[in-house]
Amino acid sequence: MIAVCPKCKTRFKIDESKMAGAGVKLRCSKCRTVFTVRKKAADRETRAPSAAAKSYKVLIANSDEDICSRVEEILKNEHFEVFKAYDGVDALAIIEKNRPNVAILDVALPMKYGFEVCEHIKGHVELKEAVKVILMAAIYDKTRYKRNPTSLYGADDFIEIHHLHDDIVPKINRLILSSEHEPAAAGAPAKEAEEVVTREVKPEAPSGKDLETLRAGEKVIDDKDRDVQEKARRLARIIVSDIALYNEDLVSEGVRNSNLYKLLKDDIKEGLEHFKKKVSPSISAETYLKEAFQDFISKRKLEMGL
Amino acid sequence: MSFINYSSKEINCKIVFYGPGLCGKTTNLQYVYGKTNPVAKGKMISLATETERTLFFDFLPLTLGEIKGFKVRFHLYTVPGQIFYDASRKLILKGVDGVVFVADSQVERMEANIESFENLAVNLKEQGYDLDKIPCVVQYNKRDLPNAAPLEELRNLLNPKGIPEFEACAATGEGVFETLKGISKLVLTELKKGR
Repeated sequence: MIAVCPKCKTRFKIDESKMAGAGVKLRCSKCRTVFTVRKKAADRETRAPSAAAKSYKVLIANSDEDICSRVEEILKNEHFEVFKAYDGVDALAIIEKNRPNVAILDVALPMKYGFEVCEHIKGHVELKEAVKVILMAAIYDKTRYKRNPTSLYGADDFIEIHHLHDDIVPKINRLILSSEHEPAAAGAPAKEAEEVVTREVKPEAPSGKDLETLRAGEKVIDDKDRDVQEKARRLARIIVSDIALYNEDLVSEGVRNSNLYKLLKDDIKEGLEHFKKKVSPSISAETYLKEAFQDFISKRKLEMGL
Repeated sequence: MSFINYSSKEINCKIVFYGPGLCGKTTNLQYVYGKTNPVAKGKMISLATETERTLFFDFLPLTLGEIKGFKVRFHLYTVPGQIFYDASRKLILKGVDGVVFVADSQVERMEANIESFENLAVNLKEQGYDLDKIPCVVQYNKRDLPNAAPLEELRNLLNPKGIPEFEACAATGEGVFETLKGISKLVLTELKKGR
């Protein structure tokens, strides 16, 4: 539905399914006026009680078409709008274009691994909040191999393939509901409403533009660029991981005293040289390695409770 | 390519333990060395510069029998796993008869595993080998760690073609000899085919 700011008359597109109860408070992003928007009576009656309203979108990405179809069937019964992808590149394109509320990604997708797609989403300012990720992989029969979802490349949850049937809908519902309640927990209802609006309005412009770009036949170049950058990022992460692995003590000291770069000067130099040998000169080795190091340092700080 | 020593009536096979840094290649080798009959094994040699480590030793398994009157002697090598030392890895792969890819099961090392596996394929190709044809097994090491990735995930990423695979904890020796037997079997089959 469209809401109009009573003061400056700016129009906002609102996803009604995200409106809790009969109405919601909004703060106009232009003039900052706070106003209330109410749902039409008919809409209120048809609103599904659970998160499984028809307007929620879910992407299922798996190279196995059977699995995709199985999940699609389950989710359609719950009135979700379902998108399917059979490789990582397609999955990312669908995510960017359609902004599903939840993306269920197989870890080992062809073309681009599921965890790389996940990392892309979680490193993207807009996608990060808009798209919840469930990583799917693995039959683990030994409980001790279960991992905490926070270490799953930033994914919000994980699912085991043999539990798909039972777990998938509750997991999706939980993620959708939690994503709606997160801002409320911060204690500012007006701010929550504003986020609902901006999230709905903003993505349209870039995705429309993206579509034109694709139509103009530039998809190949785009993908190639992205691919090169993704590979460079991966290489940088591996180099940092390697350096850290062989210098555990120095790393702890460096992170604690904020002098990591100084302590590992020689290794970093070696890493830079290796990086430059492996990627095209158009990619800045310094930038990518620095980015990877900063990521690593912030993760390590968290682990060390700093 | 196996080397035949006619005077000692031995066929020499080279098996290389490949994998990312600190995945447990050396630990594998040390365990095998420690458990091998002293009479049947050579010296353990560490070809080490300040930062790289390459281990090597040869041994003659007594239970493998003979191929047309020749005993089979295995030479086990590790490569330096750290990403920088590609030149050494290429060198060590020369004349290889079989590869054990040791993967680090820890989720944090997943990318390093993938990179190392791709690097193995590239380096073999440069030497004129084909990873799909050369005897090769995968060992998922460090299975005992709490942050070990599920087997299925490792398999999806590192072993889509379904070559023989083994779970291991090289530090305790679990799975080490199973892996070695796995690769020996493949190498011997290849030897018998060629002769």
